[in-house]
Amino acid sequence: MKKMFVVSLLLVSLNCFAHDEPVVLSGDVSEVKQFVVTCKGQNGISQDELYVQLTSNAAANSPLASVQIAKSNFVTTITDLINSDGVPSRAAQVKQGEGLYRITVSKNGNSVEFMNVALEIHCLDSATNEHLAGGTTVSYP
Amino acid sequence: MKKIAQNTLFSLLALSAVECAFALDSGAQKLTTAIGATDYFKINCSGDTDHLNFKLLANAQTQTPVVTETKPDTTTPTEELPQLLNAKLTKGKLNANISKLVAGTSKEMSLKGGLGTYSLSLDTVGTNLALKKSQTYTIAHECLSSTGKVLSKSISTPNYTLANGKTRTFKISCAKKDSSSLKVKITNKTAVIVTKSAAQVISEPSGDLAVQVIKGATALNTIGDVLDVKGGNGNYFVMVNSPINAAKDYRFEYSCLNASNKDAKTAVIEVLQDQ
Repeated sequence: MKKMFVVSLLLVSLNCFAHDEPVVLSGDVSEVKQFVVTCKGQNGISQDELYVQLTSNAAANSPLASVQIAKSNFVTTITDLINSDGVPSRAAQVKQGEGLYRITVSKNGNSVEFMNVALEIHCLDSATNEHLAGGTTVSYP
Repeated sequence: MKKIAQNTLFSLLALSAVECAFALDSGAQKLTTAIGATDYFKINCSGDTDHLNFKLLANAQTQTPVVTETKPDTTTPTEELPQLLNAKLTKGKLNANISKLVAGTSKEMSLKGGLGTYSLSLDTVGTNLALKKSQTYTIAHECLSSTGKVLSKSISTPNYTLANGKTRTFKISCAKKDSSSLKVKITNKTAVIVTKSAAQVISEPSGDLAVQVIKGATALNTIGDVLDVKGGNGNYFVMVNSPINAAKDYRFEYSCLNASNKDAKTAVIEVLQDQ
């Protein structure tokens, strides 16, 4: 029983390491889905950087969805674009310190089909790349 | 008399010009080709503002989406499962995992195993077995000290391949005495295969800029249409970006309007980021 409890706790903490955020964009091109990610360190381990990776059901080289990651006066964009050398540029590591990062997901074109977008999100320590269980929380404005 | 009439006309023209400028502000900017380049503005509306009216003028000539295939919507779309890889990094009893690394993406993992040899194994458990082609991937790694200093690093390997159901194991050594952890990045370079179901419409981006206007919980996106973002007084944030990292000149017009669509008060715009 005790063992099961420990295993359960371990599984819960492992799940907290990265946050998977599924997003569905409807046929309305003006639609924007947004949420807020909070990066917070603990026990002397900083979580001062945010990693975001975008996966979508768009065809290769058809960057139909884009994600903006904003904090204070800084913002960057990732899309589901694949560069000509075949390397995807779907991920970003944004080092803007601990605190609130605002993420928006929207379409790039007038496409009317629904889009399934998956975001993998986790905060990390920029010095060691360590990401803590409970260091990443997601909320919705 | 003629001169008075001329002066009156000029005054009227000048007044009307001032009123236009008062009611509709505009800006011009250039977005660079830098990856992720995004221009960022803050527009402050006050008075009796009901909504911000915003229009992007760069994309006026290319509004039609490019549609490569359209068929009647008579069947239910089928979802194609992706090809994927899993990776496991182990040293002694410690391990770290990457699961479901789908075609066209990359992921990193790190393991604090100290000095010595780490084992990295890759498999295809969970991949779409209907797709028979071997997957292609590359590996890059770094040995890090406890303070995060890079002690040694590899450039990305040549392309390796892995067939469905197979496993491949690599040994990676962190030999420098201060080694604390190993970071491994795996890129699944397999081409993304998209099968078009009968009902699916595949569109392509036109290369236009996209704009998002945000006020609190309200946010709207456009590639050229006029947006009315209803958020009252306060700061509206505007982000301009290119889906294909293309450089582009653009102009925009904006106005803070009240519920009767009359100018509420001159908006103050601030450039937060110019890329």
